[in-house]
Amino acid sequence: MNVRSRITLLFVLLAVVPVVVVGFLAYYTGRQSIEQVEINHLVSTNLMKSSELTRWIEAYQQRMEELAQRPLIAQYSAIVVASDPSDPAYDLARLSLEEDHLKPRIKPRGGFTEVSVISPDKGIIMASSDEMQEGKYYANQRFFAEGKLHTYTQGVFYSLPVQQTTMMVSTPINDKKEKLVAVLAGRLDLRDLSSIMSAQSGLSQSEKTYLVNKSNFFVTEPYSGEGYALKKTVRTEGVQAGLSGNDGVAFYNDYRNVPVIGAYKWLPEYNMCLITEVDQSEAYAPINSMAMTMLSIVSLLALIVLAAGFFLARTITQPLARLVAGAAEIGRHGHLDRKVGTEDKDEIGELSRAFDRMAMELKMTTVSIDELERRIHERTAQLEAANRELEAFSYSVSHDLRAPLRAIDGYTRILLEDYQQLLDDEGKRICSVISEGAHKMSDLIDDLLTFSRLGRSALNPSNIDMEAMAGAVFQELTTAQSRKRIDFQVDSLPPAVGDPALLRQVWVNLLSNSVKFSQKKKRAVIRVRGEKSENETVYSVQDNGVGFDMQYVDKLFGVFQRLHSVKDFEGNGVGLALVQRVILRHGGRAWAEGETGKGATFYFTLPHQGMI
Amino acid sequence: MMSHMHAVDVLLVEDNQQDAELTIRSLKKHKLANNVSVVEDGAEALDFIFCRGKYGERDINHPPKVIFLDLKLPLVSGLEVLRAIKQDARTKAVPVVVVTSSREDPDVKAAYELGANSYVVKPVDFESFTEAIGSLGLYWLLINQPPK
Repeated sequence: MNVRSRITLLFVLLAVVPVVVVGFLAYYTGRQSIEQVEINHLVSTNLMKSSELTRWIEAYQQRMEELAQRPLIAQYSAIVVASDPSDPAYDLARLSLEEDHLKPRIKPRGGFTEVSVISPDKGIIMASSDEMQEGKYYANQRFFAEGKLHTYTQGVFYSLPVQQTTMMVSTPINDKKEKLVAVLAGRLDLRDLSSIMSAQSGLSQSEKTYLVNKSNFFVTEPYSGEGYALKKTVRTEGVQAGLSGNDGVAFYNDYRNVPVIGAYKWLPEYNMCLITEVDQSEAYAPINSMAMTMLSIVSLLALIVLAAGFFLARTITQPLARLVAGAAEIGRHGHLDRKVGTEDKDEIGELSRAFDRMAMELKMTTVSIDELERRIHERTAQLEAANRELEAFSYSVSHDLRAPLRAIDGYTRILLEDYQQLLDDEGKRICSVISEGAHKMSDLIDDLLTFSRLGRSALNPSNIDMEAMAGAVFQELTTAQSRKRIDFQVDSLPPAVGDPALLRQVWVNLLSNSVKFSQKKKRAVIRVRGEKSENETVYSVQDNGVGFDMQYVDKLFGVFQRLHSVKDFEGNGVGLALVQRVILRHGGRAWAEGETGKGATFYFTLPHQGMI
Repeated sequence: MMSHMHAVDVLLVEDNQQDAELTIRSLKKHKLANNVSVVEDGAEALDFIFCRGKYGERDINHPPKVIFLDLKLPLVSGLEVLRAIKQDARTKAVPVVVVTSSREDPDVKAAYELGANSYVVKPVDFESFTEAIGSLGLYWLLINQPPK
């Protein structure tokens, strides 16, 4: 994931997560409180409806009692109950009772659907607002039995005589002596009950209140006009709980199978349960709409933050991208003039300017490297020219110095040959000294030339078996005769990389020195060693010859430096200088240790790498 | 040092008179110095070989049996002389022994490329010198068979 995406994501997380958390908490608490409010409302609605029901019934009871207490009612009822058609007062009493007292109590003015006078002994309707009911038999009905004693309301029941569910209010009719004359009974209109129950008590559209009887039949319509009352049964969780005699609240699916919050209340006096329900969808609508609003806000916020983060990230990553591109160009193509710096005051701007400065310094360094290379070139050319001059010089030296020497030696010889008789022994000796001098001078010239050539010619390195080379050189330097006197020991020598011709010359010079300086020993010992260390190999040649005084060790490797007289040991003092020159050219070192009369050890090293 | 106009065995091209004398003495020692001519510079050498100037009377058809040629010469250098000899059909069969004082001579390679028959370093030691010159004379004058 790149920096830009990371920054953007961080922004979104920082902005959205708190909002989501707070939103969820708000939603949860909001829902809780809405639930509580709704539950309170439903419970109080139930209480209100049950008291309305009681008032409604009490109002009818009151009317019934008022009717029963009229003196005329008692008087006429007694006549009607006596039921003696021969009594001339009978017809009048019945007519008056029905027309003046019972019928006015029925709908629409009175509210009852039927008001009847029942004989107390047989339970037969003796007079009624509905003539069709006369003669019907109510002796085994509860409202009749209770009604003989006091005012009574019988909850919803199925009435055989009228062949329908009904609700009856009954009250005794007593004469002046408080003797029971008849039972007055009124039938209530259940449709009125429905309208009371279904009257909206709150603002909720879906809220409904209804009654359910013991047999699970609707007593009132949940919603007006459905025609469920006393025709359909209902067995929802709330209804079952209510019918079991409990009061409470529950969440369940109602008879329509719609999720509701329902309050149920058992009404023992009427054997019914009162249910008030509201659809959960409506109850939760405010909190759900709040949640929707919140969700929209969060989404919008996320979008805004995403865009802001994206652009902010751009402002951060764009200069970085420029830096990366600039660095890549400098790295790949070496365009050190390429500028990536910005005017920005922030850290990235600072970085970009620092980068430019770095590129500039790099450029200056590069320029100075170019300058250095140019100078090296110049110097090399000068050195090459000098080298060529030196070669020409050495040619001249060897050519022009030799010619006179040849003349000296040649003419001396001619003198000896042609004027032999004229020269005495001293003259001849002088001639031979002249000759010798010329020879020595010639040798010196040869050695000097060799020495100078060693410093100039290019090295041709290859792998060298140093042990074999040292052995072969020793064989060449010595005769079978001399080898008898010399104990020559060669350890196993590590191989080397170097110029074979030059290193061979090193062995020649060192071994010949050892042979030479140990020639006066009865038993000469020459030992050659080689030891590998981390970076170089150290070779050494040790002898038990005359050795030297360490005081003069510095002079040992100088050209024409001699520590012994020519009389004792031949040599012109070039050999060790040559050894040192060869070893230095190979990147190594050469040194010596010795003690007068005890022998000397000469060391040289060759590096494993970095040969010049 | 006198020379026959016609039959010359050895032409010595040498500017150093002492070297010339020593060379002739060496040849004499080996009884080879009967017909030796000496010239002292490159120009004279060319005149001699191609029978020009004061050597106009010489017959180019009788070249020396061997030429001892020093490379360091006044006027015309030894290499130029060598080139002229080897480029001319009449003279290119004449053996040329390059004689020089130095092993270091940068012209050794060039000399061989131009067709020098031998290359000899003059030793400082007189005995060695006599030996060398004698051997050369013997070889080129007696052993070597020039084309007819």
